[in-house]
Amino acid sequence: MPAKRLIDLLFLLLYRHRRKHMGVFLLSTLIVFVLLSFMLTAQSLHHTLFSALEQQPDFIVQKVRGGRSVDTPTAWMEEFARIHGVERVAPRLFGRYFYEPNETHFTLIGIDPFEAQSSKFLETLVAGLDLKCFIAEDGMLIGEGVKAVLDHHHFFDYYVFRAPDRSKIEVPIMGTLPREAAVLGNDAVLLSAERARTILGIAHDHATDIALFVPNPLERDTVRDKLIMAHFDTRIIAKSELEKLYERLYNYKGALFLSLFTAVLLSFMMILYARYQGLHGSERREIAILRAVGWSIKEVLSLKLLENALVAFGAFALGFVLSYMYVFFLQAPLLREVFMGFENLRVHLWLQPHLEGATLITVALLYFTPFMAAVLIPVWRAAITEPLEAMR
Amino acid sequence: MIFLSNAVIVFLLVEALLLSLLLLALYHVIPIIRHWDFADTSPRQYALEKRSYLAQLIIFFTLAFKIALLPYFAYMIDGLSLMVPGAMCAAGVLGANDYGAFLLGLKVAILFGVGLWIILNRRDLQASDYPYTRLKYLLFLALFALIAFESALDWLYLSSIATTTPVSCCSSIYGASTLGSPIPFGLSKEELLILFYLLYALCLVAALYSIGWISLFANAALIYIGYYAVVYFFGLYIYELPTHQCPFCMLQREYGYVGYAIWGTLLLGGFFGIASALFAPLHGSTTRALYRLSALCNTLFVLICSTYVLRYYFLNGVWL
Amino acid sequence: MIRLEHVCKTFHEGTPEAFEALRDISLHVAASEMVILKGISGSGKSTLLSIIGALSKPSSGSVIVGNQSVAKLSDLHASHYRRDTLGFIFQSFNLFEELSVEDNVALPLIHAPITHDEAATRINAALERAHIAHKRKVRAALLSGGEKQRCAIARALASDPKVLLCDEPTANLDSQNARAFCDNLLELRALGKTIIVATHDPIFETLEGVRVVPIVSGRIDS
Ligand SMILES: Nc1ncnc2c1ncn2[C@@H]1O[C@H](COP(=O)(O)OP(=O)(O)O)[C@@H](O)[C@H]1O
Ligand SMILES: [Mg+2]
Repeated sequence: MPAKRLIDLLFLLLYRHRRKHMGVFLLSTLIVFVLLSFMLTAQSLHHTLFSALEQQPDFIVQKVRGGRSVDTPTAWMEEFARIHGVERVAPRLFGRYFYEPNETHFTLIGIDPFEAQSSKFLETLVAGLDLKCFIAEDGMLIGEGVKAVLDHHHFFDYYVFRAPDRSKIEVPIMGTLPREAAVLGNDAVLLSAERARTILGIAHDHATDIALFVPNPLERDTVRDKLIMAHFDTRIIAKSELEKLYERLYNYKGALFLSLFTAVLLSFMMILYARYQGLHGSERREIAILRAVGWSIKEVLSLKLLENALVAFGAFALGFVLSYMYVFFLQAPLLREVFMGFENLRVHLWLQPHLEGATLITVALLYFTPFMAAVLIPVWRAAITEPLEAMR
Repeated sequence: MIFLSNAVIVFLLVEALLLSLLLLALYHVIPIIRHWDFADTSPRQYALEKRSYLAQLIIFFTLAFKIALLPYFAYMIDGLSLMVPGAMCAAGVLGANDYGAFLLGLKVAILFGVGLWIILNRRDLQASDYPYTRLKYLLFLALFALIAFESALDWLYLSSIATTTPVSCCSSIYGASTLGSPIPFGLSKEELLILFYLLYALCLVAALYSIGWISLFANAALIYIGYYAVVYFFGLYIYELPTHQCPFCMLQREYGYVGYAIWGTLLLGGFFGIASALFAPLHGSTTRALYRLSALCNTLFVLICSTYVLRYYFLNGVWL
Repeated sequence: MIRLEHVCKTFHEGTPEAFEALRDISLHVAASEMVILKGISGSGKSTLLSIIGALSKPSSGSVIVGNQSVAKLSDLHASHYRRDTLGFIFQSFNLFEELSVEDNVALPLIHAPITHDEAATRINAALERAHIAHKRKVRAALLSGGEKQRCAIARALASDPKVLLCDEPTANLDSQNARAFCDNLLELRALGKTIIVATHDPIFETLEGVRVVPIVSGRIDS
């Protein structure tokens, strides 16, 4: 027999018991929505963070004195460049600038116009902006967060920085960074290397730190050993360690949330069980009829399981669509703050639509298992209805 | 560190839930084992028959999720390699402590038991007098003990993965060692391949003519030899690197998750082949279906593996 | 066709509320015979039908239908037996009101191992024999009482069974429809169906060539 009649019957039963299913459907949708919204937000941030991290240098070397990092002599660069496996060495100029009226910090980044073309990181930051014009005017590019602060104080076209030597430096604002760069560039101010040195008070033969690029992963361990041996007053930050650190941090938050969510899932199961446990007279009679006309317990069991699975699946699909819209179209209001709590400036992070199958599978496992587990006993109870009842 | 990742939490939660369901099934199974007598017409027997349906439903549902959980376990372990220093894929994470490798073996063994149970249950329900009820619930008791043990090990294993101690990566675990060839019986790669295809042909013949004992032997051997053939021969073509030997990296996205298909078809083909031999004394349509499934899975497995080799040859004009 | 030997049924066996609904029933029904189980309400007619239909199991005794012992079958075999050998017709019609006549008739065939075309042929034949083919697309809720009962007959005939079991089939019908129902049963008997009707409606005793078996508190009254 074609499956069509079975499907018709299935939808008829769904329609008949809509009262019973409606509450469960709404509750399940809510559960899926919360779970998926959380996971999608986390996963999108993770994705953005890691694609940004990928473009970072493989090693960063900082000079330390008494445990505090101090400016690093650029003379070291030649020495590092000679290490086998190091493809490129670059000085980095950046630092925090205290903006007093708001008691916040901007991150000042000095860029060398020639460097800018060779650094993928800067390239993504300034993608689509006119660098030539920026160099000619010796102005600055600012992140969305910085722009909001400066706009508030009516610095629409320029801002006057105070350098450590008490001089005042007026820098014209040339534009804002694209919002895709917000995860790293929200509080960033990009200026020429020269300007950055003056404002941050970094000497000409020094840089904030030195970046090394080692494309071959197999050579990184030896490069690292050589860096350690080269100077004793350094701190070496490897990108791979940063990645693992971020990964752990990110996962810790997610796992913590999921463990707390267990309590919700348990009550979800109890509600489902209570809701489906009672059998209406009409439901009993339906099953009794089917049994009398030759359906086996197994066939009734699968019919009833399918009926519940359809509810579960419908709720999952709706929950998915809703959470996708909430996260990527509405940009996850409220939820975003949970993830962004540690930022200095209020981050207006743009959540880029990004979906991984694994996230869906994880949420599906976490949702379908308790759902189906909770309906097993009610379904069985329905299926073993005495067919004799049909005779009454 | 149990908060390693979302996947770990979800995995452990789902596993705990499944274990509690099995416990519930156990509660219904024990009176059935003790008092089952189909010839009896007492109300107690009728009640047991109904309870048996509940027990089966719970067990079937749980075991079905259990099957889905093995690839998820592999995925989760693979994801952890991002956090465990030194690990490039699941191989390193599995080697992070003493439980890993044993646990993986146990999981595969349990799935074989699960498959047997599902087939036995089917046979039992199709007969007119539930002939295997006691047998299938005894098998369930054994499975339950194994699964409880497995869940405990899962917990131990995952909670003792350190994120600070470096582990070895797959290239040092499976890589060319100085202590001679890792391929069993001292076979060369060519001999391994010939044996591999011969065994496959033997499996097909056994399935075609429904010869139980050959099927049992050939499929068991194909799993064993197939494992080595994939790691030390076909894997090279999947990774397109003459030195990359690892059973786990192929589970990753870079290789299109093909590892799931390869190991899945190998294990399924072997399972159906062995199960068909075990169920051969019972005859009936189940056995024929099992032979057919076995042949299908084995063929898929061999096709996937061979395609990688041929594709590489056509694109590059050389063998690795 | 149907042989019952010393069938007993006790409800709630071994408890204080134990109740002997059937006591030592032995009954033989030949193929294409029509038997009327006659008795007052509570005499055990429905219980007897349910045992013949493998809907419940006797406490003792043997039940053989065709060549098959149906006293103790596994659920799957009992269901297949009901689906392939039996048709049930109830007092309260027991239709799915929202489904069309045709879909109601198709219910027993949903899990039968037959093709779509075969099923369609059987459904058509059943609708014709129950004289309800003209209403095949109509929802069951919109049918009159007599039509509902005809729809129920068609459903019972869907798998072309050898035996029809009817439990108080005319209790919800007016006398005209009851008469039409009886005529329909006689036609079906002529087609070779074995028919057992449990009823207290005297109309069945007036039919030609039927055997009336009186049931009194769980026994055959002879
Ligand atoms: N499930 C049951 N449990 C206890 N008593 C029952 C059950 N089913 C029927 N009975 C009893 O068995 C007797 C016969 O019932 P039934 O076969 O339905 O009678 P009839 O169909 O002749 O009216 C009645 O007294 C009824 O109360
Ligand atoms: Mg009655």
